[in-house]
Amino acid sequence: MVNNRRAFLKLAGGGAAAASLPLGACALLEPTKGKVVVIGGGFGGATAAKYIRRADSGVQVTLVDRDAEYLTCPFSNLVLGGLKRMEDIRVDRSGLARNHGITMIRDEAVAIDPAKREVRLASGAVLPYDRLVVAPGIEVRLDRVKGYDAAAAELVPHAWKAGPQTTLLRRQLEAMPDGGVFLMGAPQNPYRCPPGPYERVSMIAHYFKQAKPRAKILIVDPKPSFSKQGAFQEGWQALYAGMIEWQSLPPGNAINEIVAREKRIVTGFGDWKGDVVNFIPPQTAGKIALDAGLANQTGFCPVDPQTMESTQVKGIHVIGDSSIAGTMPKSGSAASSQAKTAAAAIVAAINGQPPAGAAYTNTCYSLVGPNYGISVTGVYRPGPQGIADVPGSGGVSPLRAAAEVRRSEADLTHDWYKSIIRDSFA
Amino acid sequence: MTRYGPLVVAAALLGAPAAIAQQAAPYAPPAAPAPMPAIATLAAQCFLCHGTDGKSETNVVTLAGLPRDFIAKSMKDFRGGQKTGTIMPRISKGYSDAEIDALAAYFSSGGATGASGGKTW
Repeated sequence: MVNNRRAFLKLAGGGAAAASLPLGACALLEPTKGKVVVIGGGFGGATAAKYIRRADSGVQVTLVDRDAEYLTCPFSNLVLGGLKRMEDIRVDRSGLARNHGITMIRDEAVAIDPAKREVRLASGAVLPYDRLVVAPGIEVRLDRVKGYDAAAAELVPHAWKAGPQTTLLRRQLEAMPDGGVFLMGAPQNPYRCPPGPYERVSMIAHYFKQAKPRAKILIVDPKPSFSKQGAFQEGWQALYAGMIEWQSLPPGNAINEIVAREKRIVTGFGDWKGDVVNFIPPQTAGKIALDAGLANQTGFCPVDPQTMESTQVKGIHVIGDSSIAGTMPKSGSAASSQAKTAAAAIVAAINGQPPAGAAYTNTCYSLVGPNYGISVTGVYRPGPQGIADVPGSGGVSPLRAAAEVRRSEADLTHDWYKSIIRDSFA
Repeated sequence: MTRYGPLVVAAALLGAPAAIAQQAAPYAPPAAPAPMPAIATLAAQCFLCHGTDGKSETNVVTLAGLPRDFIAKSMKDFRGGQKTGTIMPRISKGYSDAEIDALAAYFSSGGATGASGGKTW
């Protein structure tokens, strides 16, 4: 398992690869106990890289991410609501190299060879590993619902990854006339950030209340219920009475088609039109995880709940939204939590020790209004059916709480964001 | 899911005696799952809100360096309903006595990583 290959640059091959590795050059001269490659520099991947190095600085860690900058999905709904700007959700990842000695490579991982234990990058470079962490997040599927492809997403944005899609949806909302209708096609489970669609609606309602008080919001939802439902609906009644309607489709009905040019959602139960339409399409594990055979028929990746190691391919740990993590939601908080357990397991394996045991938590806040926060928490351990809640723990903010409690949770929402960014990326 | 929550918060707002909150939260602590995770892994779960190594940079309390008994009693009081809060009453119910005691010892001693070669900045 421990492999002291030093021919990193030779294996990587090619001038382009060497040029992209200036930060790794010094580390390569030091003896290493083993090499870890991390694919994906979001909450999961960054936290895993950092916590491996914290636990054992003798392990060489290389983090590969195709994007120069990282925009967080958490708080992207606040951009839609006008509470934050895009630059507020841009994360500085330079501390991962500076503070923790992680080699950062901007490139795209295009293939994994688990037999040779190598990752091939788009540039042609090849990275050898003793352990691999796969944390690519979700793939937003533009090939699953009739009419909803990449071109349609320019008319009917999904905005389910923070970036140009977020800006596009915000511009459409700004251009919408007062008295118009914002229509959301909500996703079927499982998907990234279970409370996310409903926080989004809340933030858009906040914006409408200021700028377009006669506007309406309609959610068409294939689910019979949704995350934090009682707390959200209580907040909507308190802050935006009469503005938001939630239409749950009867069992057996789904969103079958998007007619983007007509801003129309087609279901077996009827059609809906909006002036601005946001459709959140089906999702799977990231493409590299699918290509590497890490996913099962669900489109997500089964893992050992003790270590987050793939049950399909040894030596590869899948963390975050791409993984099947039992009762844990797909969230940045969950990804960061899983990363810490995976990091401990990886360091133990490289040192020839048994796994250090698993602990998992999730804490997600949602803003219903600027001074109205609600939360869901969970504490989890490995169980016979996968990762499972510790019985009696966790849950959603209580109903019928006073305004001071909602304000306190709104303040904690901002503390949470600042803290998880520091803990994951700095 | 929220069976204990509303009454706990109501008690906080009304300044009600702890006994009322206790009645609202009949609670048996979970048995320690076997094996208990290594303390560094267990404690790292707290860092997300309480700061890396328990050193908060927000309004959330810094755990590093707090007295051991205070941390342990706070967690057990959150768990039992004698102490009110926003998310800690819900989170504390996920931890056994042994885990709480280990976390209290860890954070009171400064939140060191305890791992070879580990470093902070």
